[in-house]
Amino acid sequence: MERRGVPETFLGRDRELSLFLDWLANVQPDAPWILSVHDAEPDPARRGGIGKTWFLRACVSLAQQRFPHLAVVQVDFFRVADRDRLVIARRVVEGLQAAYPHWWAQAFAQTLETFAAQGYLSSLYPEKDVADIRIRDSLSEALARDVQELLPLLPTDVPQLLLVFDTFELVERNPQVAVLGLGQLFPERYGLPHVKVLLAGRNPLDWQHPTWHGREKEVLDLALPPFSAAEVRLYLERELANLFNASASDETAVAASGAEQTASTAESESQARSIERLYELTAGRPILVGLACDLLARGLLTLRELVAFPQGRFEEQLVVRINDLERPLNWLILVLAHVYHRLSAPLLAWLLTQVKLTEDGEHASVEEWLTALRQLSFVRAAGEGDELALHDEMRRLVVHYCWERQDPDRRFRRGLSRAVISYYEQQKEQALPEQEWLASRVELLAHWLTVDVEEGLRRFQQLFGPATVGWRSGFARILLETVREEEPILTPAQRWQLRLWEAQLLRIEEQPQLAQTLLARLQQEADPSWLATQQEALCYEFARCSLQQQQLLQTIHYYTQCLELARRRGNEEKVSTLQGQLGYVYRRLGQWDEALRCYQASLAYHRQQGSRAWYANLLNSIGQVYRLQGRIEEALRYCLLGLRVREELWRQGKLNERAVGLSHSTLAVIYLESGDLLQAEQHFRHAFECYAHVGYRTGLAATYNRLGQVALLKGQLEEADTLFKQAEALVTGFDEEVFISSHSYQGRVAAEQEHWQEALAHWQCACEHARHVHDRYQLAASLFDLVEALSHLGRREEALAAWREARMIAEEEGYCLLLGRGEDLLGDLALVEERVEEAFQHYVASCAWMTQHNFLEYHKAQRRLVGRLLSLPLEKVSPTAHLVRESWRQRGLAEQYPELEQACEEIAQLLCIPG
Amino acid sequence: MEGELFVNREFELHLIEEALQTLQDRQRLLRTPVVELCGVRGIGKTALLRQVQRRCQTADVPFIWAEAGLGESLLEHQIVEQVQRYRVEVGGTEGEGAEPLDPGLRRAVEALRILARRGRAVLLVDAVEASNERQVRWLEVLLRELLMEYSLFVVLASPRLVSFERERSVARKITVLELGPLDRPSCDVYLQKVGLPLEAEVRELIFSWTRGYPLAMEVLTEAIRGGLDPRQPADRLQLLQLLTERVIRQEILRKLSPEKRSFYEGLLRLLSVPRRFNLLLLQELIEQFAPEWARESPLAYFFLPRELSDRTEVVRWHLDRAGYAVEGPVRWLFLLSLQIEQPEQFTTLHRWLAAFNQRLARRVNGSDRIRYLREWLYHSAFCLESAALGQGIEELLATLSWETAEARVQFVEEVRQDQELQEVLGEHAQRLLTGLQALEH
Repeated sequence: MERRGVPETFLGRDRELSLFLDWLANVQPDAPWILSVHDAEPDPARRGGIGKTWFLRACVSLAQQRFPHLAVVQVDFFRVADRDRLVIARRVVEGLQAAYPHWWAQAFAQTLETFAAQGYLSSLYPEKDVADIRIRDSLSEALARDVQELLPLLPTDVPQLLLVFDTFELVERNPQVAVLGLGQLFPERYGLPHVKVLLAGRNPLDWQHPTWHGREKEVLDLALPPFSAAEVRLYLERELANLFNASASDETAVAASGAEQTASTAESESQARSIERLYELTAGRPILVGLACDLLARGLLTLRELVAFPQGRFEEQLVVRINDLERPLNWLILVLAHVYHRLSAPLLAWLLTQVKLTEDGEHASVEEWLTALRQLSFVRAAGEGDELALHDEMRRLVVHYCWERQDPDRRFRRGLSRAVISYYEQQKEQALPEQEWLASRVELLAHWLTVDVEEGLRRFQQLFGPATVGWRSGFARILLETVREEEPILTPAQRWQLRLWEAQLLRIEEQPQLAQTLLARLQQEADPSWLATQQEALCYEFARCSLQQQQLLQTIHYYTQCLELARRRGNEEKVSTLQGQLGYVYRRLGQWDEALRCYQASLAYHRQQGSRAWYANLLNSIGQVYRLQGRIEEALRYCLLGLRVREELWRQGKLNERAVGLSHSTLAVIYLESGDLLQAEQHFRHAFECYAHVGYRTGLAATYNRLGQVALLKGQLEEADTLFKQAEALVTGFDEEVFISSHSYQGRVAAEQEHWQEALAHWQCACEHARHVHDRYQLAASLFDLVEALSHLGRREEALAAWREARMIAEEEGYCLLLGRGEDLLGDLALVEERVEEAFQHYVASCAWMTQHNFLEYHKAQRRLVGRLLSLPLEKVSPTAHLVRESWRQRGLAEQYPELEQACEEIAQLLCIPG
Repeated sequence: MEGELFVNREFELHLIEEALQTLQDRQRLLRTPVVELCGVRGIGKTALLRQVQRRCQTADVPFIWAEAGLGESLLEHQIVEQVQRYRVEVGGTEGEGAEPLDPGLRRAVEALRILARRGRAVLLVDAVEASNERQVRWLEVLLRELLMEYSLFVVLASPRLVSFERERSVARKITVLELGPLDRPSCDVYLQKVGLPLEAEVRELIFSWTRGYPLAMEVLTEAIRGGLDPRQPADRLQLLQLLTERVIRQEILRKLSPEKRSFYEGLLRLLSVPRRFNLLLLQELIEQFAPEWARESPLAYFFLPRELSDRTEVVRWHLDRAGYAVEGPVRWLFLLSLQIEQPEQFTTLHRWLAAFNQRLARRVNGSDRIRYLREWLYHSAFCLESAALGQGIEELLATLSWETAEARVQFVEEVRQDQELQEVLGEHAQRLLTGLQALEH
């Protein structure tokens, strides 16, 4: 391939560079716009050090040479600060401004300035994250406006922006940390038509991850293999030109004799064999080839010694040389391996004062050493400035072969960590820029863990706890991974605790099934005595995971266990909290009496000694139950009272406005169900305002869905569809539950218009997402919807399969409302095909399920049945009414719910008219 | 130096001889343009350099002899002055290099360049100080500037390896020849050349005390010539003191002030007991046996090995041992002195080291564990009774049978090559080797 533009220092990889260039140049609408570069090694444990970072550098250089006006933005997730959407967005703006100097992102800059003045710079800053959504909304909206002005300046037939993400494996579980715009999936396009994203990580993309699911066509996959033998040779020849070709070049100066030529040929052959052997020993892994070259070039070993290393211990033999601390450079490598995240000149200078490297008065040149470090193939830039870090694979090797050997009980590493801690402590925290603050917290945590694991874990909890509340799971993940690196030295109990925290984080990252698996494994592995002390926490996590997957019966099981344990401990507050949570689950299950019992018990505690905020929550929740029971007046009373208490608390600054919004939302639903659309709409709009003020994104999206529902009921299909789409945009990749709802409703709009294919697409999407996030309720609901669309499209077998699955889930989980609706749907489908008897058996079954849900729904189902009965030809009404009556009796429901039988009898009597 | 005793070093001499012949040939290229001789003081580097000088004289090859230890300006002065003796006119300071050089250094470069371009030349530099950064840098630049002079052969001599890491082009051109003690036959030749009528028992004693360290042999033979008899207990102590004074204090530690000399001597004596040490052992050994030298925090021990190396030039990192060690000949003298003068302390130290290695062997895995086990065995041989040692070996063999095949192979290989271990194990060595052989299968 033509290597014009590729740095001379980068060798080989012709095929990959060529593929990159073709991919970059292709701006056709259907062309993949993401190039995923990853390690070709199948064993995850052996991945790393394959030369991705160097490859990215070569790609960037090539891209800039071939497309001079291309804006290029590079992000390395290795840097803690780079794992921040705001940092990335700012870099994108800077990159675009540099590429198109006539354009200025004025709105973005002004918005940023406004927030900066308020101190709201980072989305990850723990104290300020409440404003996360608002900042994101405002900034992305401002950027979108700016980009509109940029569009006319952009060329249309070439790529406009190249985003390069390195070390993706560090954020692969939660790549949304890099997305600014709400409702966007990683990676973001920033409103530009021709964006290309070069993504490099150890692992191939996980197509099951919500971010990547169904996006195979957008991505071109490039598995990076180790160097080939030819590439190793090229590399060695360049790096060790003098060593290899000393005699060859010298021959030009002195005429060689015949004997010399023979010797020279023999030497060349020997070199070729050495290179071949080196290729075998390194397996072509660039990190090892680079290290071997560094050592050869520094004269620390000869090629002959190198190739004589035994195959199994090659890596070790190379790396152990760094143990020779007589060479300050080696000491620096050890320090880099321990300091890990980054080493700056001031920090190095500080450490030097602590280790007495030099005698009093002797001057050590920090800059010179840093320069020497930069020349090493395995040292990388770690920050914006001149900070350095060791390549992560090299770090692993140095820790294993050097630190563990020099410092088996870690006392020297503890000493270094103490020095780093004292360095940070002598800095004024307040003066630290925000990103610096964030990065330093993670680094400090790592060093505290080294110095004293107990203290480190205590500090971890101080940071992790707040980070898991809200939308800071990215930061929480970094913290957890930092602790996980110390896993080998944790006590069993600490290790088990770490699993528990990880399960909590997985749940927050919306991976409840993984969390459950982890918890189950923990139950098997952990010591019974430890499990006994943590039983409540474990049960609580299980309950939360079950709830997230709508496994309501299981949730009740675990919450009940927690409740018992809390009672035994005499922790009344915890008991009351759990009662409230249990009430919610019973409510979801339609077990109104149980729900009310739990809520009332919790309410009793909070009325006396608990918090008023909780008290208000319970009022609202009880109102919800009354609504579901069809006790509308009582429901309104409770909810209005709850709203008043919440408003008062909010005015006093004791409560978030989000809670006020929730009250409005509940009231709106009550009005909606009682058919008062006007009141319903008014309260939904109040709720929307409250949510907007606090940036409660899920609430905003859910309210869009509710407003869409109102529009749907009004028959304003177009407006309803717009609202559902707005909801979808707001929560894509963020809140799956609302996302799925929005698709369900969009399907409903299409169904109303009898656009069955379109409806099917929406419901299938809802199904896939529900299945993926293990939301069994939404999955069952979407499957019932699918039955409808598939039946209308004549795909009976698929419809039948969907029905079976839906019914199985709903029965397992006790989703009576869904089962009732499902039977109702089957009845309608049978009726259309004039299978009257079958249809009414389904309607009766629907009524039966609804009795288990609530009285209101039962009445609605009964009303629907009667309506359909009376729509039959008159001669069929009476026998069908008889059938319904018999069926109802057989179900044993006639006594408790006599209304249906009475209605049928009445109809039969009224139909007995002469003639 | 006329009359200097010189034996063995055939390999080194052969290589140098070959270089000189190549130089004379003028049609061939030097494969080893820069040779670096290194080894502890008194090991025979200067004697070897003198041999090169002698060969130059015989072959009529112009040579320059310089003493690096005198400082850079004197080094430059020695070079220029000696070049001028060959009727070479060293002109101004106009040079060919891209980088501006210090005027003195430029003069030296120019002088050598002119001399080499007249046909051939040899530069011999003795007493290079590896820890003297300025001197190393000076030499490094000198060599860099002269790399393309194909008719210049350079031999450097230094007590420890000089790293020319800043100039990779220089580092690649250097061939290192590490000088060790003389083997037994060479020692016999040496003792014959001394011209003393020595009985076999005395010869044996000289060899076992000095282990072929030329300077120590010289001191001993001189003392014997002066009337001391190593077979007499009273004379033995005197001989030992003489060795300590003449070899350790006057030679190895000669650059240090008296108060510092005492500190480093004490430290070397302590560190000579283990065959290898890492930072951890260094710290614990000092805290246990020389608390007065303990440092305030583990960090303060980081560069103690480097400090020892810089000050004494007899401590360095040994790759094969995966640890630091005092250079063999010097270590042996300290051990000898400790064993004879403080036998209880000698045993206590070995006992403590055996326990230390045992503790660490329990803590680590893989090849590190194998090393700790081997050292535990070594130190146990000095502090356990024969029966207990035999039992220890049995237990060790049992332990090894649980190790991975790779670890077992490593242990077997290492023990087979470990003459010192076999020697101290005495009669148990054979039992160990047999047991290991069984383990292999």
